[in-house]
Amino acid sequence: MVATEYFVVLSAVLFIMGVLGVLVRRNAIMIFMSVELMLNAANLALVAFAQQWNNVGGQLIVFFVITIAAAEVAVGLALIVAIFRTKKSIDIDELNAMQG
Amino acid sequence: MTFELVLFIVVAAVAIFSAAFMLISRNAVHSALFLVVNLLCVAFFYLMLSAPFLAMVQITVYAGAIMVLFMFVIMLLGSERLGGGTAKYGWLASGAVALTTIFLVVVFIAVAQGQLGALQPQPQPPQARFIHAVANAPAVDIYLNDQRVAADLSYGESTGVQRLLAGNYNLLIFAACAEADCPNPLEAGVAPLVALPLTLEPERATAYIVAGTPDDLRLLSVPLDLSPFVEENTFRLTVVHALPNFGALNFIQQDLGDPSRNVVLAADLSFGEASEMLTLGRGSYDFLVENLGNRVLALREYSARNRTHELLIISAAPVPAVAGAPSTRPDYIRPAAPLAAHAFGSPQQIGIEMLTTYLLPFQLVALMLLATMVGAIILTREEVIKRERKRLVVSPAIRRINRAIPINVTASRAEKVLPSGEAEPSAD
Repeated sequence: MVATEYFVVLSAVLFIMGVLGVLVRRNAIMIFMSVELMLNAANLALVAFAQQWNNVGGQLIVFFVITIAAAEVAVGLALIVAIFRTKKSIDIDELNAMQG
Repeated sequence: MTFELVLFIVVAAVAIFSAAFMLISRNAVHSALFLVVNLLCVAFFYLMLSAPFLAMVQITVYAGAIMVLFMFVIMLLGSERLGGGTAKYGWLASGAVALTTIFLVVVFIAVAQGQLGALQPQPQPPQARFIHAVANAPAVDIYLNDQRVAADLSYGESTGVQRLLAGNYNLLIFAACAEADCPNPLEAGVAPLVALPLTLEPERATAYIVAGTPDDLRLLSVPLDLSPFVEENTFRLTVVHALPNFGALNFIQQDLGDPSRNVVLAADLSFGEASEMLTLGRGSYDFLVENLGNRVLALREYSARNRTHELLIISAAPVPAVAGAPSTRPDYIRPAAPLAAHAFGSPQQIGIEMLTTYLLPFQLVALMLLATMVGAIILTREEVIKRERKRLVVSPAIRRINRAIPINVTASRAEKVLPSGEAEPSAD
């Protein structure tokens, strides 16, 4: 059996790759995909701990995370489509209508 | 280095490289495909972590449905080629790398210092059930210290499997009283029929059988195995000899057609002994109980539910005529068998947990999904609605009505909306 530590470290590595993607890439779709990467990394840690503690609660939380990720993608992509229709671009840096 | 560790390292490398290529790829379609590879690697890790159902959900929902949605939007917007990105916040990239490196170092230190492997799960509480198997004995109440665990248990009856706290107990068996409101025997100072010390250990399931004769009650403890079954369509069977004043018994699986193919499942059980746990496939069995070659009891067409641990208690039948005298006519008791636990991470276990402990979050997530669906539809419909409204305002019929009214706010607004070059469709 592979020790839980390895899964936690792998999960951390995948998570920071997601963080890097959100911070560095300026394309809204790429940012969304990086968020999915981060959610997956968190799920991996949850399942690893569920096995470590022999408690199925961790796996159920992952189900809810997957559901919420699906909902988030549906709304997020609808937003991107709406932004693209008005701005003709999905570059996050150009969305400065709120002076951000 | 075990095979599993090698497999882990290989798949982990694939996962990390696919994530890295997803980040640096200039083509959004390639990025999405690298993300699919990453998600499949994570599904593989779920399989390694004994979450098979979750792995399948990951593949169908994540790598399937969600990624199709991504691809669909990428294609719809025609944004396969990503721009080089504005150099507006160039300093952000180096800052992000520095921050994430610090985060990773902190995680490494935390994992190295945390001794995750030393963490142990909480032990499961001990489980116990109580069975009355003394013919011609009165109904009994069973107490563990001052906690009543079985009430008014008469011959052949059994309690369900109960979760109790681990520890040392004093087991007291009282004769159950027949009146409507009995005093608590502990407070009333009634002398128990039997008092025994009993130790309940965690992670154990045990059936306690009250056996013997009415004058000489004994307590037999038979271990139960409620752990998940490896093979479907099997059940567990334990045979207990609880027939007082009787010799050793042989328990035989009979082949009615060909007696030479009889199988001795348990040999030389003396009073109070239980057989080894037998695992039998689904089907109908004929059993024979023998004592020194003499037939004691025959069971025809014995079958049991799948995934249960059956107890077959060979005991004496109650004889009403000679009250009080020990009965030696053999009989058997089959208490209702408890269902074994489901395997960790199996769809059954997930489903049971989802609809019991996690029912409220489940309902909330369902409501949220409904709201999301409505939200996504409105977000994409908004423009269509707006265009429809504009078209209605400038339609000839409305303009004709507007012209009939001399000063009209709607008319002036409609003029503004109309592009200047567009010819008016009205004939007059």
